[in-house]
Amino acid sequence: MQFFSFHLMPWPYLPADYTESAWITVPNKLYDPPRGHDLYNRYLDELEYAEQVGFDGLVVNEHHQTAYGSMPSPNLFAAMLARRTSRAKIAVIGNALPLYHPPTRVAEEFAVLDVVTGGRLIAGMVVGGGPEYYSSGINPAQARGRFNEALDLVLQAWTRPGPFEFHGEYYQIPRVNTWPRPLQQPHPPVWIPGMGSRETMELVAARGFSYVGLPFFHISVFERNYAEFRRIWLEAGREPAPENLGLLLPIYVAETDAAARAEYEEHLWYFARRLLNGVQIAPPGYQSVASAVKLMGNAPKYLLNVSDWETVEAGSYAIVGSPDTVTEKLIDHIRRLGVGNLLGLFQLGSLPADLTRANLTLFAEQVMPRLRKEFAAGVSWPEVTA
Amino acid sequence: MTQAASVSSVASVSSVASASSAAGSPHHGEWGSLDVDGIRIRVFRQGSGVPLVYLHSPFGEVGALAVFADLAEAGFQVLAPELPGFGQSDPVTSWRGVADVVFTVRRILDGLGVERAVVVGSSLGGWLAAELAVWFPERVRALALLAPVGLRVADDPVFPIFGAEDDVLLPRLLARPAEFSAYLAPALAWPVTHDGDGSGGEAGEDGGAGEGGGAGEAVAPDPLALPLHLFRAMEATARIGWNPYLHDPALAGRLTLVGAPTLVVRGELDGILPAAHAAAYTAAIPGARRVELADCAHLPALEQPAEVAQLVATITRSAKAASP
Repeated sequence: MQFFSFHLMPWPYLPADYTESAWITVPNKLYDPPRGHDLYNRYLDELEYAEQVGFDGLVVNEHHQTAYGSMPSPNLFAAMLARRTSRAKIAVIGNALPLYHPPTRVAEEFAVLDVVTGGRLIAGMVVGGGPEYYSSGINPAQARGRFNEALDLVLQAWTRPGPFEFHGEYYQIPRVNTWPRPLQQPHPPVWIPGMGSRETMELVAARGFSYVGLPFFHISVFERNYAEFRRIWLEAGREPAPENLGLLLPIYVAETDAAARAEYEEHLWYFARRLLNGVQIAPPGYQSVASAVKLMGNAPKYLLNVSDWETVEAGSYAIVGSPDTVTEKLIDHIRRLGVGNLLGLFQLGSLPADLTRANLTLFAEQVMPRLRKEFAAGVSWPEVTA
Repeated sequence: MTQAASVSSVASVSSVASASSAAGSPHHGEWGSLDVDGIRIRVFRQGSGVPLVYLHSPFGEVGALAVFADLAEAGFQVLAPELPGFGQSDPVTSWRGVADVVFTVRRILDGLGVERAVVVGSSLGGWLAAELAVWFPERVRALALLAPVGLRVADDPVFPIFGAEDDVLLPRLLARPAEFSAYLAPALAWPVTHDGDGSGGEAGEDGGAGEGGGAGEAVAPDPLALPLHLFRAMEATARIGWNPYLHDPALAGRLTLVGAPTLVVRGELDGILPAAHAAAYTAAIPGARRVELADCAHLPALEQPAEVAQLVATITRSAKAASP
């Protein structure tokens, strides 16, 4: 079992009277650079602290023009962490490949990170969020095609002796010759986040990558999607591989269940009602009909559309409570989903520095050791034990 | 390759069931499909006489529309292809720019066996019609641009249709927003038998649209049919005009090459296309005439069909008068 601390680096200062989208069109005059200075340094401290208290990995991701997350280039943040940490994996999940032209830049930057960290990089690659096609001008009808081709290009850039010519439908490069090459061979582990589309799962299974379900859904959505993933993975002729599955969730631990809710609830609602507002934007061509229909079906089970705390708790939209409560819930979810990686969001929305740090400390001291012990022999997949 | 050779090699036209019980009647129109370089294109035809190609808007209006009946009545053979990715037509995923789209439109004309046609285009279709008249002027006998996008006018942007909510979009699109689904209903009619390659059935199956019984029977309305139609229509429109947004930066400088008699029509209530765009087309195309229609927004062919048919007939007569 591997434990990761994921940070979105959200903007916690949206004014109370601003209730519009936090994505794309959120007026950037609402960003206050002096506050941003303090915030970036605080958030980076929180990631570094996670390594100090025993997390196995630190996670950053990419978003553009949004109060939801302030890491337009996650590689910058990975680079800052690279020199301030020495043990933890650094997972960038991921670079939105269609937004990089040429995508060999991703191969290069990831290779630099991998070499500098001595092979601590986990290389995530994503299509990018729907809103990002409005903010970049990239044609969303080409999103899937560009992603697939760019992924292929990055993998070739890491593994094929250069120089070679790449001649694709979207990218043509006369001489691909990545310098430096990655330290992990044949290449750093590749993680692909997904929203449940079969296409993505098949790609991950075919290439032996790792899958992380996008968060903020009812736990039943994860159960269905992960069962489908495990089936697709096994059908591809692979052995069960919990280490290739990750679960991403907001987690908050306090001394008691009551204290946890009292300290956490307002910050979760800030996130759900203010920062998630706009994430659902899907430009034309971004999704297949099948994916759109599936997503429409799951919409009522998405945190943006949840209005009461009881549902948050019952659906495990966030795991909140005493060390005992959090441990028990996580053991149950890890077992049912067959995941070998747990990615916790320990800061969410407007959760302040002191509570974030206390949360990380309590989790590391009172939850993580019990989960490590519980799964000392590894996690098994329900299909295989049945 | 000669024109004749290309026509015979590209086109395998087959008629499928009629949209109405009077199969084959020129007054009712019929659905057909053709294969254009491996892409299945659904076509609605109505009337006989002067060939007229109608290129639809981003909303993919085809089928038994009032404007087609009026045009057929006025002596036109209306040919209304569903552009790739719209309705029941296959998508073309290899398009990288509008020039690729224009070439596909030209191949559709080849496939329809149309040497020279009156070309009427609505919004997106107006843009493509203007491009066609620039690149293949010999194919265009007269040109009617109905609220054509395609140009960028500083400080007068086309309303951003992608991602717009219905309650914002529809009042800008139509003088009578409530008519939206009625205008698109004919496009949702699905031929009750189709010609076997299977590809055209995909969208219908996705949406659960049933395949009807015997020829001529109406297909039961499916609540998902319209959302699905619009989902595909917006994707296909994005493929062409996501960025640069519904225009070709090079088009304005090329419009002087349009030789056909040209009419530019815009509805006075159009909340999508600012008047400056109609004015820019009219100024750039030699001899172009401009008409503003009252009680009409962005889709004149649907909102003022009789008026549009009459205007198209007039501009076509002027084309006859001009060419010996």
